[in-house]
Parts: sequence; C-alpha cells; structure tokens
Amino acid sequence: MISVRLARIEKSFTRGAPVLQDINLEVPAGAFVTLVGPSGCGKSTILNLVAGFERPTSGEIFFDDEIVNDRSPKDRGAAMVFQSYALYPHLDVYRNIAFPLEVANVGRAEIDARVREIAARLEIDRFLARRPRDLSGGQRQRVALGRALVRRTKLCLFDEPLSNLDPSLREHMRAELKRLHEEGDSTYLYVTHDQIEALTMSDQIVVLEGGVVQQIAPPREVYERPANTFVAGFIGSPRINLVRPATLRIPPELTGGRAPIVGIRPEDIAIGGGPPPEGTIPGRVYVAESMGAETLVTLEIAGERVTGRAPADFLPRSGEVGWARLNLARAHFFDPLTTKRIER
Amino acid sequence: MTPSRARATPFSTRDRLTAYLLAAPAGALLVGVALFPILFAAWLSLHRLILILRERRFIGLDNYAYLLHDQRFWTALGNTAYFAVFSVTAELGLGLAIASLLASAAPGQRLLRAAILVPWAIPAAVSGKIWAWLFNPDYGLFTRVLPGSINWLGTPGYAMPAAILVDVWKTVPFVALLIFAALRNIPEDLYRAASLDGASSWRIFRSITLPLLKPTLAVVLVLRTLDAFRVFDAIYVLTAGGPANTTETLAIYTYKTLMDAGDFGYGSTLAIATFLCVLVISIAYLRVLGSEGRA
Amino acid sequence: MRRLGLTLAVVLVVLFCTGPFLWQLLTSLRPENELTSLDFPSSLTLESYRSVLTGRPFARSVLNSFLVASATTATSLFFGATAAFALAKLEIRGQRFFLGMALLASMFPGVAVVSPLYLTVRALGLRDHLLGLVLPYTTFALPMAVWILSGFFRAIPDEIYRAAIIDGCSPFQAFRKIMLPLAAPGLGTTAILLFISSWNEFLYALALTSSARSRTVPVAIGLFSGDHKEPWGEIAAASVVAMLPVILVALVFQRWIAAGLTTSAGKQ
Repeated sequence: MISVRLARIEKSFTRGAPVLQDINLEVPAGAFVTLVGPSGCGKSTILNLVAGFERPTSGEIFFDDEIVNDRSPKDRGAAMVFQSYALYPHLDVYRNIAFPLEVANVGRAEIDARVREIAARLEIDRFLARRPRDLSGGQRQRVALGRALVRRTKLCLFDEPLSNLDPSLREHMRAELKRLHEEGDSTYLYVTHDQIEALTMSDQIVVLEGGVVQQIAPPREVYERPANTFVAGFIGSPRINLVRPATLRIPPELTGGRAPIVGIRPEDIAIGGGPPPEGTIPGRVYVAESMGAETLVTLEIAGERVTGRAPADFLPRSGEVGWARLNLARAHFFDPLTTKRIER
Repeated sequence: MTPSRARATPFSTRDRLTAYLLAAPAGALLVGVALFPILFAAWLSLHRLILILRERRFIGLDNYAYLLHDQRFWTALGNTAYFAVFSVTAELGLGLAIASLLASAAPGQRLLRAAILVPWAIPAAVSGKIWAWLFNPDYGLFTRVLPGSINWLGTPGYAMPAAILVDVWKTVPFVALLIFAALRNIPEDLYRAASLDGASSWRIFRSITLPLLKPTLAVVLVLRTLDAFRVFDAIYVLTAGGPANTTETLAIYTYKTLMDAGDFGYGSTLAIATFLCVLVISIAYLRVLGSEGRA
Repeated sequence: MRRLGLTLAVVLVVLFCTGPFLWQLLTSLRPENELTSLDFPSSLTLESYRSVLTGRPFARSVLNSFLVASATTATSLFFGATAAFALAKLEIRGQRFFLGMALLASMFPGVAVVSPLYLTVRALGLRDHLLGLVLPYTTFALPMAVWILSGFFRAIPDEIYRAAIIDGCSPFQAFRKIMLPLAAPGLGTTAILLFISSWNEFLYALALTSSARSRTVPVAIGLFSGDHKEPWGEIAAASVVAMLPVILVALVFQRWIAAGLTTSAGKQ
C-alpha cells in the first residue's frame, strides 16, 4: 500500500479557466478515498493527474514521499479501472486479465494461477474464453476489475466504474468493491458523481465543486456536519432542505440574531395531514411521492418548498392541508454570504 | 466529465523520443514531399532552363510576365474552367441520382454497388483508351450509333463534351458513394416525423434531405473541382489536348511544355500557376470543411 | 409500377457503368477480321491477348506495375501507420500542421511537381528505373496513408490506449500489441486504396520512364501505337489485362473501399 499526496495542485488546459485550483489532499496508505462531485468539478482530472495521464500546471504529486510528477503512467505502479472499462476487444477475457502480467514478463505458470484466482473471486471464470463483445455490462465491468486487481498494485484508481450499470447491479458491486478493498492491501482512489457510492464505500470523502475542494472528511462527518451548503445539498438523499429561518419559524435566539440559511434533512422532518397539531408548521401539499417504505411529502410553506417523511399510508393529493414537525436539534446553519457552516 | 481533449501525455524524455521517432520518418518525408518539390519548382520557374540545349539562366519574373500574355495559357485555363464547371455539375447531379437509387428499395442493390465501382477502379489512362475506341472516327461504336456520324474527338466543339463525358463516367461512382454514405446518416426518424406531418416525397427531399446533405455536397463540390483542375490522364490519352488545343487543359499544356519541349523554366512557371489555382480552391475547401465541421 | 421504374433505373446505371468495360472486353475477344463490326462476334478468340503478351513487352509492364505498386504500398503503409498512430494518440507539437501538410500534399496537382521530381530522379540516376517511380509515388501515397489511417487510429477509444499504458506498455509496445491489431481493417482498406492508386498512376510514370524496361501498364497502354493503324484488338486485350486486377480487388473488397473513401473525404 502506498500513500498519495497532492500539494498545491493547479491545472488549466491550454485554452481556458483553471480546472483545478489549489488542491491539497492526502490519501493515507491503504485507505479507500472517494472523490465526489458533479460533472465538471475536476474529480476525473485529479485521477488523471495521479495516474500520470495529465501533468499539473503547478504543484507536486507525492507517492509516499517521492515526487512523481515526471514519471510516466507505466512507471507509477498504479492500476486503473476506466469508466468505459477499456477492455481490449481483440483479446479474450483470460488474455485481457493476463495482459499487464505479460507486459511485466511474469512467468506463464504464475500468470495462469493469478488470472484464475481473480477470475474465480469475481465470478467470471466461466467466461475466460469469451470476447468482451459477448459479455454483458456487469460481466465486462468485472473483467476490467480483474485486469486491475490481478496486478496487486499498491494503488488502484477507479474512474466512475459503476456508472454504466443497472441500479441493482450497482448495489451489488458496491458491496463487492468494499470487500475487495478490505481483503487486499492496496490504496483505493475512487471517483464518482454518485454520493451513495461515496457514503457506503469510503474511509474518506473528498467533495469537489468547480475545481475546489469543499470538504475532506469521513462519510459520517460529511453527512452530519457538512462544511457548506453545497456539500449539504450534494450529500444525502433525499436532498436536504435549505430555507430561510422564518419559513420554519425558527426562534431568533437559536439563530443568534443573524439570518443564516437553514439546512434540515427530510428525515428530520415528520409530515402529517389534517389540522396542524401543537408545535407544528402548517402548509399546503405540493406533491407526495410514495417510496414503498414511506411517503416523501413536499409542502409549500411561506412560499418555499419543504420535503419531509410521512408514513407509507399517508398519501395526500396536491393542495391538501398538511403540517411539518421539525427536529430542530439536527438543523444546520450556514452563513448566507460565504455558505459556510456556522457552528452552534 | 473528462475534458474533450483526452490524450495520453508522454512523459519521460524517452517516451517523447519514441513519439517523435515514430512520426519523424513520415514527417520528414511529408515535408520533403509537400514543401520541397513546390519550392524547387518555384525556383525553377525563375530560370530559363531548356534541358536539351543545356541552357540555364536566372531570369527572375520574366517567365511570369510572359505568362500573363500567353494566349495559350489563358485558353488552357478557360478550357480547364469550362471542363470543371460542366463535369462537376454533371457529377453532382448524376451522383445524387445514383445515390438515391442506392438508398432506395430498388432491386439488384448488390449488382448496383459492384457495377459502380468498375469505372472508379480502372486506370484513367485505360479509360481514355476505352472511350477513344468508342469514339473512333471510323469504327467507334458511338460514332456509328449516334446520329450525324460526327468525329467527336477530331472536331473542335465536340471533343470537350466527349472529354467531359469520359471524366463524368469515371468519377460519378465516387461521388455517388460519398453522397450515399451521407444519405445513410440521416436518421430515419426525421422522415417518419415529416410524413406524419403530411409532407410529400418531393417536399421531404427539398426540406430535409437536401439541407442535411449540404455539408457533404459542399465537400464533394470542392474535392471534385480540385480534381477537375488537375485532370490529365484520360484527356491526354483521349485527345492529347487536341483538336486545335480545344481540350488542352492546364495540366496538359504544362506537361507538353515540360516534357515535349523540354522547357523546364517556363514549364515550371505553368506548373506553379496551376498550383496556385489549386491552392485557392484548397483553401476554400478547408474553410468549407472547417465551418461545416463545426456545424 | 414504381418498382418497374426503379428496376429500369438500376439496369440503366449498371449498363452505363459497366458498358464501356464490357465493350472493351468484347473487342478483345473478337477475331482480327471482325474487330470493326458492330455485331456479335462469330467466335471468341484469345488471339489479341496472345499477340499483346508475346509480341510486345507488355507482360513486362504488368510485372513493373505490380512491383512498383507493392513497394509503394508497403513503404507508405509502414511509415504512414507509425506517423498516424503518433498523430492520433501521442501529443506531438504541431499535430495540426502535420495533418494539414498531409492534406495539402494530397491536393497537389501532379503536374506541378513533375519538373522537380524529374530533375531529382535524374540526378539520383534513377531515371527509367522502378525505384525512380516508387519515390515519387510516395509523394501521394504517404499523405493518403497518413490521412486515412489517422482517422482509423483516432476511432480507437483513447481509454483503450491509456489502459495499455497503465498496464505497463511503452508507447511502442502499446502500438504493437493493441493499436495495430485494432486498426487492422483500416490498414487493409488503406493498402487496397494505395495499391489501386499506384497501379493506376499515369503522369509520373509517363514522365519518369522512357523504355519498356520500367514502363508501367497505364503508360504502356496509353502509348500503344501501331505503325500505321492502331491495333485496337491488342489495345483492348491490354486494357482488360490492366483493368482486371483492380476490378477484382475492388469487387472483392467493396465494403472496405467504400468505408475508406468516405473516411478520407469527409473527416478532418
């Protein structure tokens, strides 16, 4: 396992605004770190910089304590799983997985042993003689994984590997990836735009937006104590409510006299129908979505929309009267100008 | 999202060296092939150079001054332009028609596709000979079958149309293939939507097919004009520029000056003049490609 | 009714395209005394073929054409493939300049460079020599190869190249093990187009060769002359021999050719 550190990394392409600005982050040896953010935030660029496919405009990249800026990708000792899998179409599954070992001149017998071992582990040993074009998306994805993992490198890079899979398959693979990481001893650097993947698999999350790091923290902390409104809105599904304090009738002593942006997650708001009981806020139903185990209801309160949870049997129609009960202890406050978190 | 320019950057000096090593031979050859001959020809055009007489003298721009008054040059340019206009028009029209045929449900598609490759594949010089036989004044099939028993290749005014026919015959397949490929790229859904909206076949052709074909037609137009300005093989074999220089194109005049008269100085001047015409058209081509490529 | 019209159109087009070739074929098989008649021949004979292949150095021309075309294709393919790969996948400064040069070079009127080529070939002592043709032929074959092949190499997803690099390949290894196999169809197409262009080339061959020793087929046919009257039977036979290889190649590799032509004309 190896640690990766980015120091003061900046990156602009030949004609344009910087894609990355002053990136400083550390991937501890053996950790599973996820870079997450919306499209265009720069996460894939960071991965390409670590892999060596791009050079930083300025700044240093360290593997353990060596600067690797001038090292070509093939000499960095990293393996990579690409978003499109990038399997070699003219080779069968066996030779796809064996390819990096062949390039490294590993002995035939050892190649055979390792290929079969990883194929069995990923349950693709039945397909070793098939070509990529004869495989399903999920099977191809596992071949790509196999080709990366068979090398037993100290560093593994993942570029949105699950984004082309069906939701159920994605769920399965998330668990698989986490287990593979725990069983092996490589450092994983993982890129995705799916915050669920980030939350479920990582030891640490790096949230990116517009080429700037928004927050670096373990999943729990990113969820419980988001550093700004962007992180709060990006992490967590269903999306957090960000409203004016007056809407939720938050007493001024809690806000400390200022007018922060209030963030409160739907799971901390209970919604019901009929006449509003004591201590709740009335509103009109905008839409109700049945989620199976519960209903997500969005109310219109004082001109803003607030989403909360309701029991599964509560299925109001638009326009009906409803109420919201808040768990204010779990509300987040953000500075309206800087959008940064205000500690209470 | 990865930025659109996603290449693998070579890193170490060794990688960079490999890259240049791979490209260098071709690069050197290309520069040698593209730049060197033209520069050399331009240099030659500033001389009086008759090979057999072993005469070689620097005369500056005198050749170009002569060129401006050379009636034969202007005739050749006129011939070439005339040839270009008519052959390109015919090729575009016929090519469009054949492409539509290829795209239609007509029977015998395989035969059709095979047949249209025949004119394209054969050497132009050979096609010249084939048509020379067909237009032979005494025995040619066309001379005898067409009314008036005109000696097509020997009569000024008739020879050029014959030459145009030969060129059109040879290159219509290429044009048809290009247009056909573009036709195939038009999504079927557009036609379906239009017919649901009640459009007639002609209307669909006019409002959907033609506009979407415009980029390809533009490319074909410029490519074929380029080729028409460079035409040599078939006409040389067919008429050698006659009768009375009525089919003498720029290329043929240049060639004769160079190889028959051995005048490498003035011949090079003619060559450069031809090159400049082609260059102007090429620049138009790149502009057209550039703007259409962005569309 | 519409179907009838379409069928008629197809027949017309097929006749238009193949007619002249078929007429030449027919002429080549006519007995000598019936060369000029317009009716079907009373019998078919190979006399014209025999006379053109034995009585003239035509067979030599066929060999020359084959050698020159093969040599040109091989060298242009090799240098063109390496250059196209470098252009498509590696970062070389002046990429666009390179491709622009290739494009420009393929647009040159052949006649514009005949004089320098002639003088150069003569200075090298290669006049009337097969090698003296291969070199000039490269001036149009190499740009064509680079142009068409870089389209094919660019079509191979960048991520596959990157995967090879991160799997430990040097650029040349990646080229050899991954890119070349994947570009094989493109190489085939380019080879065919190069071969046909070289085989059909007339102007340079006309200018740079002077004797039957190195004459190629198009020139041999173009210069065919009898002493007094043109030997049309022999010309027809020679034409057929000249056309048959390329027509066969074109028919067998139809789809590849169509793909190559559209790539070369439309893309940038």
